[in-house]
Amino acid sequence: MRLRTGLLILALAAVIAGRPAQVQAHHSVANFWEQSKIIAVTGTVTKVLLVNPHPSLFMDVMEDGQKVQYVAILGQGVAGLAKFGLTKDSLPIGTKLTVDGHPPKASGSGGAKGILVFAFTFEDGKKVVLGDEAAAFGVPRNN
Amino acid sequence: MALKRSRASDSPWTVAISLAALMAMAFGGLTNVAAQAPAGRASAAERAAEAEAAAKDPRNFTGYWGMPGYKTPAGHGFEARIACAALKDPSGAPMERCDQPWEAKGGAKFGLKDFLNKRGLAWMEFRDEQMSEKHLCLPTMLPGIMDHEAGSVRMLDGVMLIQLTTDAFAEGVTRTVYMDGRQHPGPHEVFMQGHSVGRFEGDELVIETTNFPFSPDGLDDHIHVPSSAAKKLTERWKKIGPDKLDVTFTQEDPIFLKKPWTWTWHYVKGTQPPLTNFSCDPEGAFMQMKVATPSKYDE
Repeated sequence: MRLRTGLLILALAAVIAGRPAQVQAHHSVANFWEQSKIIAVTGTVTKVLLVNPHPSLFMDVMEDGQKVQYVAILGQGVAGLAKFGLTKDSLPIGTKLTVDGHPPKASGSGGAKGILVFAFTFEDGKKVVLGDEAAAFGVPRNN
Repeated sequence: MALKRSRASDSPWTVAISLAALMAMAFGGLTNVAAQAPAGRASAAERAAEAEAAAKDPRNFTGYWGMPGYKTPAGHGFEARIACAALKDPSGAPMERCDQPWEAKGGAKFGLKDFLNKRGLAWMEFRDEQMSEKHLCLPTMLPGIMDHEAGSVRMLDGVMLIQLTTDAFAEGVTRTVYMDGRQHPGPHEVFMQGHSVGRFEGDELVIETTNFPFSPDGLDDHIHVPSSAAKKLTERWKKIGPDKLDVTFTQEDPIFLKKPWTWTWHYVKGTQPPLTNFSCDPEGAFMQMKVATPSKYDE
């Protein structure tokens, strides 16, 4: 049991240590995203852009009876996502999921809404958390 | 200026290995191949001895230098959230990140706004986030590219190579600092990281870089302070211990600055640079602009 606990701590430490500090270093997540707020968005994946520095998931989301396009931005690069098992194969178009993340401080001009994602919940209940930002910020979900 | 060499060329192991290699060469054939193996194994110890000697040599900067106190007083000497709060991010909220202090606050002794000339201040009113070249996958220009690491340094005869960690902001960037006494080329030749020549003044390595292109992020890629093709950057590298390096920068640019801007960043030696596997995609880099970054120039 102690060994398993130790391994878990080691794994968590590895995940934290492996977070892409370099990527955040210049693209300044703090300047664009409201890190004191957390929202959840449920929808269907319509396009996947698995590229660096910010992979993006395009999602159709129903809001007040209207279809709204969201772009879920990933702070992690492609290699970082792969460590969590997130690849093009695990995120096919048509996938239904919920993403948790931070809203933008202000909307851009691209026509879509944005969310900086730190967790995925798939339709079968499987959850993938990219780090523990929610706990780190100590902010309750307010969506 | 010659560097101090520190190879353990006279160690008993080296002598023994050299004798073994000579005997192998004399006997030829497979024996020759076998004789090279011990030399390969011994080279790890030789490299360790060389690294130890390099660490003690104030004029040898070989190794990887990073900045664990990134954007904190430990690394930058001021609190960015305080010193740059007067500037606004695209949403109108106070800026939380900056390489350079905008005001003399948060531990900063001087603020950049007092060093920019009228043109520079006018640019700061005109600029917006979407002009930043980093959102198009261009590498961050010196000195901003060194705001979290000085890089992996190799000192060779007549040249110093500094490899920056490959990420979205330094993809494939290796600085070449010519130490052979050459001059800068004419102004018609420009390089993203400029043209660098180095020399020693005592134990300080002085690197002078010119031949930059214009850049909207040429002095700070967070708050977007520009620099012109007239920019001259002088770095003074000084080891303040085997594992500590201070680099004092002075940026001159008569197009945007009314007087030289000088600051020091603090680095420590790391065991190795971060391992990254990165290729920046412009569409992926710009997507954040589309959904989270309004511009006053949107149409």
